[in-house]
Amino acid sequence: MVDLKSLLDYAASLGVRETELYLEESNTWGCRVYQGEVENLQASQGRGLGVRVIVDKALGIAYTSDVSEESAREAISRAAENARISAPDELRCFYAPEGEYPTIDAWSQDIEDTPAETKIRMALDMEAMAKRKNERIQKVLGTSVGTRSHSVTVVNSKGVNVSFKSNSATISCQVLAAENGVMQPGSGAQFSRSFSGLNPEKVVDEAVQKALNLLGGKPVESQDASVIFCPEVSAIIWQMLASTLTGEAVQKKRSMFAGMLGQKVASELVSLIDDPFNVDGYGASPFDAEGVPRKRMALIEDGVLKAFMYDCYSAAKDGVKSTGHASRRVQSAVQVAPCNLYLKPGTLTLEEVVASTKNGFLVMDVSGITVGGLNPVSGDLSVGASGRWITGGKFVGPVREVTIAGNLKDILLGIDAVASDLKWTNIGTPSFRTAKMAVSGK
Amino acid sequence: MSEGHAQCIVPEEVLKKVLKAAMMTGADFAEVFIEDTSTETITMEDGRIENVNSGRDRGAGVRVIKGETSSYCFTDSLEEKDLLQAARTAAGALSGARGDYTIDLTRREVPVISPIAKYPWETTKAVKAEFLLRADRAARAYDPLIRQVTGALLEIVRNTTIANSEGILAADSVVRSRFTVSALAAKTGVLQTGSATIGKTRGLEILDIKTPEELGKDAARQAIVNVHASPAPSGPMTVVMTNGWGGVLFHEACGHSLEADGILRGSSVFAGKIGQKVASECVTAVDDPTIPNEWGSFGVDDEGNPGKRTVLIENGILKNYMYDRKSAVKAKHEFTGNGRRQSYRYIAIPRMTNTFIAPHTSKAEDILADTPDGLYAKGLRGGQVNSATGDFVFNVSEAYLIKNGKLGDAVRGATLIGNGLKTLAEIDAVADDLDFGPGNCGKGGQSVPAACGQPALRIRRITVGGTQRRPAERRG
Repeated sequence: MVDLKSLLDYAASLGVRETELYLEESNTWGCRVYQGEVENLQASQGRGLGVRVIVDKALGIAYTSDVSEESAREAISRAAENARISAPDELRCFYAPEGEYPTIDAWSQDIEDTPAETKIRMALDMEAMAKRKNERIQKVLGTSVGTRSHSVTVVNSKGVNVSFKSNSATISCQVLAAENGVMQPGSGAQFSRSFSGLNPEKVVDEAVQKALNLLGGKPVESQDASVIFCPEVSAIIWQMLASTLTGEAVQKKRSMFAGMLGQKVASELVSLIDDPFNVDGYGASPFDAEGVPRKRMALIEDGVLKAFMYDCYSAAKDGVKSTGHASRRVQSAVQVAPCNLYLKPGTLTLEEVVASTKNGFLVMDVSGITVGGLNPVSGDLSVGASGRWITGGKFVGPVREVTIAGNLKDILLGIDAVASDLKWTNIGTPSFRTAKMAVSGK
Repeated sequence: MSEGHAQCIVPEEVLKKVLKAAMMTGADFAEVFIEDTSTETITMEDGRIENVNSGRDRGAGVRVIKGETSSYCFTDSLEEKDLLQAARTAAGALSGARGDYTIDLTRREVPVISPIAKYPWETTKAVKAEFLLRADRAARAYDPLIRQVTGALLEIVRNTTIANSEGILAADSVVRSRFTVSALAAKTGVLQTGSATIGKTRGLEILDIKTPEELGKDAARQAIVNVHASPAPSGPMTVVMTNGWGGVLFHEACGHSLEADGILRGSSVFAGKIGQKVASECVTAVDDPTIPNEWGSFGVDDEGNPGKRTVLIENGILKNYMYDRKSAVKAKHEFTGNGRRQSYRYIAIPRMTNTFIAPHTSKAEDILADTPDGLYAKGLRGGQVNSATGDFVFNVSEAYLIKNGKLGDAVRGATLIGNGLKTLAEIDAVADDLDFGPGNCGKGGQSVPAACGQPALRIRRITVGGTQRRPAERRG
């Protein structure tokens, strides 16, 4: 594989003064089990190199999956060529290192040392376990076990040269419940930083319970009701909300929170924090995609909007420093995004939140949210939902084929309970309840 | 490139060695998928060219099947030693042994489905950038309330070579171009967006079909309609949909549930229903990657099987499913050419290509005139489906109320939610004006280009999810 430092020299020899290289390497292993047989096995080593250059104040980008010397050099030439087309801007810059990088340990040797047979056995056991759980579980659609190690290296001509390696294990289970000719799938998953931290039984239970709780759902009458979002759905909402809490979104007039710094934007129960040090989350890392050190940062604290996230370019536009929120994949341009966001959990259990709900809807699944159901500019939310209806603090039946709609600003200000059931998916979120949304059904 | 005969990316002799290595642990079947894809993206924001990104994804995936087990390994390199290593890794996950193994490969004739007039490399990037700036100017000129315009031009050249242990060798080359404009309109605290897209298996001649100005203006027009619109009503309504991208309704409501992997698992509402009436008689639905130059078209699928037209539903009767190799072998069904993958990093699975509701006899204007009260869905965003229950949802990007067969006030923020089977039975009129729109369809963590198409049609009753309760629906 190519030597990154020598690539910087090569770029300089082409007259490119500012160059940034972003290298990702990953090692993935996965198995999927179906009907007592290993259905799929995969083991691969993936790589990719992203190149950004600044030539005459303009940015050019290129990438290559093939990290040979020849392909990497070709990518640099293309990036330089692309810089001639982009609009020049004297604020374009790469990061010049200052200060220390935090130390984060997101590596467990037991993930690397666990033999394939053990992982396959776990997937087979999960399937067998799921079949036994309940007679209404008609089928186990699949169980899987996967491990991944991943490293990111950022090198630039300003002196950045950092690398971070992490690994993780993931298990999942999908089941199908059936009764009276009606089917209902349910799934469960867990992400762990160690193999020993995996809890297959809990994941199976999650899938089974979800399918059974939703089985036979029917639309309810259209009405306004309290809505409780379970952690998985809560995660989607906060993730999309976070995309509007960036300096870039404000500058590009894409944020509903422009000009609201220091103002109350949510109920005082809401504290939304980006914490790069918490290895329970996917995104834990000591530096961002531009090599800027990460730090813990509250975006919303007790309902008050505290900060916007920045990369180097958007920060330069606002005359501030990058907050370490440059995010990218090898194939993409740099965007501004949180690294390891979580919503601070409250003290009530989900059961207690449900018990205190007079007329409400526990939403366990939403559809259409990432394909236009939530407009991050206007805050309008309208999505398909399924879950369980609550009357007088008790579940009264499963609900499906309804939509829930409202504006995100009202949803945030209307939050009257945040539960303690923090769960990490791509972000860490507990369940929460908002006072009123429009439910459309029959 | 010689037109019509895509080149093998890796020499035949190397492919044979790779297949041999893949078969060494006694596999029933082995396949090597080679890909060399160049992608160029130019994005525009605020009247400036923001990002110009050129990428190359080059690599290979080796799949080995023995019994019920598939083993897969990919490599980000096309060097012989790396291909052989990937084959050994895939084979090594299976236990068994085989003595000598030889294979002959027969080159499959791959038809040219989509002739290209203007290849990406024939136009300079500076000229391409100017197309985006033209769209920006047209959008801003449309109305002073337009605050922001973004645009993107995406050009992809995807070369693939597939060889398998059954002796098939096929190479294909597909060029896709897509031009998108989005506009943001602002009026006293209300921010609304509009967008317009053209995407085809073509080169830059897509902009001869719709000019940058037309696309910019259309995006702006939609944003302005939405900024002046009232909140959408909520509750069950009659919905008339215009032709084109509205086919995402069928794609979501039924298409995914007709993919054979879910059928074989019994996890689809359409399992076991071949020959049964599943839709009203005016509904015929087809998947067809051989439509010249359409967004989801190709010569061979990602398993080397020729694309073909598959009638899924004919006059309301369920006729067929969409198969990849694995599901076709299992079901003892012929290949339908629906085995697709995002890239060499993924295994092929059954996917839609260009999926549409076929033209019928009604006229679009008559359908509207014949609707006393309802919602007119002119633009749609994407949607999502639960293929086990058939429940789907999709978002309307431009909508109007229908009053006495005529278009009334614009409404925004509407969602359509329903159930695939129920909705198919509720379609009571289909027009003759079939058109398509380009989409990126996600399934199993993989995204592939898929076109959705339909003529104008009417759904008698479907739930509209909005924020505005209709007076007649209000309940004490």
